[in-house]
Amino acid sequence: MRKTRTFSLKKRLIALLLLFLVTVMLCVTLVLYITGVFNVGKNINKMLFKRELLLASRNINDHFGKLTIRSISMSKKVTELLEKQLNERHLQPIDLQDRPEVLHELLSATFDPLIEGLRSSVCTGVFLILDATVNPCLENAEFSKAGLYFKNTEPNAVDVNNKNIRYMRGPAELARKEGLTMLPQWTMEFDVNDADYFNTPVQTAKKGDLSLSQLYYWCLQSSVDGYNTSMFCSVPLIASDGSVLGTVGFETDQLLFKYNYAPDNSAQSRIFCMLSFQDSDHIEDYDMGNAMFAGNYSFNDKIPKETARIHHTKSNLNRYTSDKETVFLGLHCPIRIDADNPYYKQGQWVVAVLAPEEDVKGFNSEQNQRIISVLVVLTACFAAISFLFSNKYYKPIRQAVNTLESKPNTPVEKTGISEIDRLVEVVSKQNQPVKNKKLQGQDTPVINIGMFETFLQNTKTLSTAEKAVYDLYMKGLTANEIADSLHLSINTIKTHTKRIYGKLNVSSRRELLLYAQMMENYIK
Amino acid sequence: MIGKSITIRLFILVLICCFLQGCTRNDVLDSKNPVTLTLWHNYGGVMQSAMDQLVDNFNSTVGKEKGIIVTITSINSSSALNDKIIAAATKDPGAPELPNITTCYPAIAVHLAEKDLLIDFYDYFSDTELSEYVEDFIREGVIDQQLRVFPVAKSTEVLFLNQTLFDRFSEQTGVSIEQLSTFEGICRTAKIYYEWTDASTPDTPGNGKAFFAIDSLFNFFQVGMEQLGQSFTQDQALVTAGNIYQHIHDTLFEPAVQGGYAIYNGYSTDLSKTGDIVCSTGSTAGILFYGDKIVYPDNTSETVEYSVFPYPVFQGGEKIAVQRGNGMTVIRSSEKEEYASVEFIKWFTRAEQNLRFVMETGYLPVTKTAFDQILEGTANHIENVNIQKLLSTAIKMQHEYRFLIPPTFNTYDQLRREFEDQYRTILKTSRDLYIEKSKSTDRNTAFQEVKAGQGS
Repeated sequence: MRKTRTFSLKKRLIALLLLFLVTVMLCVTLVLYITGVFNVGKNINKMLFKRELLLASRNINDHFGKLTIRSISMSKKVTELLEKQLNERHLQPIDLQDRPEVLHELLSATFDPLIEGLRSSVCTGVFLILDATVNPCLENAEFSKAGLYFKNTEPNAVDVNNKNIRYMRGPAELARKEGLTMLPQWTMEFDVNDADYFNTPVQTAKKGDLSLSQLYYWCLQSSVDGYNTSMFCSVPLIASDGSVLGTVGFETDQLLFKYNYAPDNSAQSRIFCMLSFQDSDHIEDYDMGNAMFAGNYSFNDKIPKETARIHHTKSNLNRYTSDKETVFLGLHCPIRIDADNPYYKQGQWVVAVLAPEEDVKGFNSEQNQRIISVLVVLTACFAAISFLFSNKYYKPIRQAVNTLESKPNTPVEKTGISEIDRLVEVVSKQNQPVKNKKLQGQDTPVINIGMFETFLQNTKTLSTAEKAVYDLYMKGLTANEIADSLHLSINTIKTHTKRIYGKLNVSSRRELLLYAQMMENYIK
Repeated sequence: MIGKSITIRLFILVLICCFLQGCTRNDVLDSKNPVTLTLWHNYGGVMQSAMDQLVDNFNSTVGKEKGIIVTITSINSSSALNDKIIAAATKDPGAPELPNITTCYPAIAVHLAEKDLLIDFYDYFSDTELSEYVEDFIREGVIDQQLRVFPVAKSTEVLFLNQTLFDRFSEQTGVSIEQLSTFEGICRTAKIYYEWTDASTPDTPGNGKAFFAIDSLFNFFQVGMEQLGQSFTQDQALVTAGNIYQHIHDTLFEPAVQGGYAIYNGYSTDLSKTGDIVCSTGSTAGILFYGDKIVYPDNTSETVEYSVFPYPVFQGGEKIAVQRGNGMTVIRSSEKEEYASVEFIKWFTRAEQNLRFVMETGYLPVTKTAFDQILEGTANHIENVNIQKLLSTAIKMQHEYRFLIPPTFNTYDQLRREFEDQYRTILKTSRDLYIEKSKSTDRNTAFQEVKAGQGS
């Protein structure tokens, strides 16, 4: 006969509850997915980047805008001063390059407005570069320009005093006269060979058709001390006769940019801010090689110094990929600090707030991991509860069945489940013996299978002598016949009979014979 | 029942252990809720970048792990920083709030210690930890038996020589470099140099150039007197009388008045950049201010090479040099901030970081391990040639010299400033007078008259 697989009630109960649980959790997950809960990390990130970008771009715009205004104002002031000094010496602005002997005196006269400009601006340096040199006979003299450069070591201080000011370019005697400490990188004149902050505004100003408000020039270049990258705002000095005397302006170096514009990195530890110029012909590129950086310095070295390609996405952060396959995610936006000047490089300054892709994705995963962890914990809890509940409901059923099996005549405790209690009652009734029903008008005991099984068990408790008597009774002999057969007295047989009845729980010979009949049937 | 009783007792014991464990300082910090510390320092210029990188490195490694963020909020010169610290400590109007950590000289720390504004590092360092540091450096930061200033970057004074200019001078005059090992020798050499440079412009007499400059006049006297066996300070006052003081004064006064020594209220590196001096005594921390060229007023320039020699000694004196350089102090605040501040300082002064800082700044290492590594040849991996030379000389001095730790009474700094201002004024006035008198009489007579007028 083929064995049929059976699943117990307990297993069915557990399976049912687990199925219900899984269905519920799937529905919950689906709802969470549809409502965008799994995108919470992405949304938080986007909000974070938007906020930091807005803050940085607004502040940079504001800061550099003020520097532009001050640069233009200082240009006018210094030009006026220089012209006055030249006039006092009966010289014209156009004579500047031909009279190197007056250069140091001219520079000395501009000391106060430059220092004042430095003190009242949030910047790291102020410079004045004259289009003339002290010694035109030297080799490469065309690149050597007399000037002054003062560096502010505490640009964020409220009160800047001489102790914070260092001397980087200019005549040594002026530094000594004013008690300024010279920096290690001091030289007397500027080398303007690669100085875009001098060459471009001066050359453009010489074209003669633009006002100062169109001539101010922002550029990003290696700082004067050579250790940093700096943003320079320079304005040409245009005398009343139209000659260009030089340029003046402010410098904001990398360190100040970092102090002022490093984004909040509590959520993204490697988030950083960049300021770079975007050529109008390459608006899909972001030049990370020539940019101001505000972030953790230990990460600065890992940023590839090259142009990154921008990949825009509608709903998420942009991707910035370099040739070295480093990918950043973030946002960027232009700021307006450049002059409206057709001769300057066309494009715009762009502020970007970026972070490595793995950090951003890690943050998203972290957020989702929390949700998933909660779901997993809930599932485990519900599974445990399912198991406990199913056990609780199964237990009374199991107990009832066990009782029915082992103690057929014992009343079974109510389970509290009406259907189970009714079933137990029906089975119990069927197992109960009908009391004292008579055969042929006599009482005939009703024996059930449980009683028979008990009877069989009890036969094993008979002694040898009792067993001998019992066997003869099973054959249908009377007590006298058994006595004759075993050569025992009738009293001995009666004693054995009494003991047999007691051990086998029978009350008469008739009942014993009934068991014999059942046994015969059983053997067959 | 017995089993249950034992279980309960064990559970209570575990709870107590957990509670006690939670009481350790380690649990004060929490990487999920980092504490932000503010730092002021005086490592400007080229050193600023090195300092920035170290701080960023800390923030992204140990700081991130332990929950500490260090932010530099002020970088300034020593003197400006000192003024700022005092102003903040005395809560002058408009003064900023003191940071968590600031670089500070012991003479300044005294003022803060008086107001009980500083922690005692002895509470945070075990004996084993302290034994890793040079004992003299630790001792310098002790004020009233409490360690208030922890050494991070020490220095001493050495002799910087423009070897290129000296070689040219030596070739023509026969002056040897050994002359520069004593102050008396420098004094004689300065006179010869002045005469030699004056002779090069025969049409303009009296415009010879200075040979030597001293960064710290006060240290010149303090160390000089100590070399000759007497202390410059006594009962919180200066000893400005006696044979030893007179000898030191004479060694300085004569060449300064006659033009062989530069009288300059600034760093001698400023004068060296224009070739206006040949040698100077100054802090080892000034090494980065010596470039590789000098620029003359007509914009011509010359590539030069510098040499670094041990601090000169007065004849017959003991080899002594001053121990300089500041340390870091931690301002009292919350337990969390104080503990975090000390954790940063411990990391910063560990051999690896200390060496890195030393190799980029020219300061001396503060741990014995770092010193040993330099001795073993780590100095050869330093890119800056001048720093290489400096460290070699500093290590040599470490073995041959005794180092004077300046006293730390609360009027010390004021005494120092007043002495320098007054003495410099005397020199300047005397020099101006000498120049005036030299127009009408010979130089020797002019000098004697000036000397007599000063009551020297």
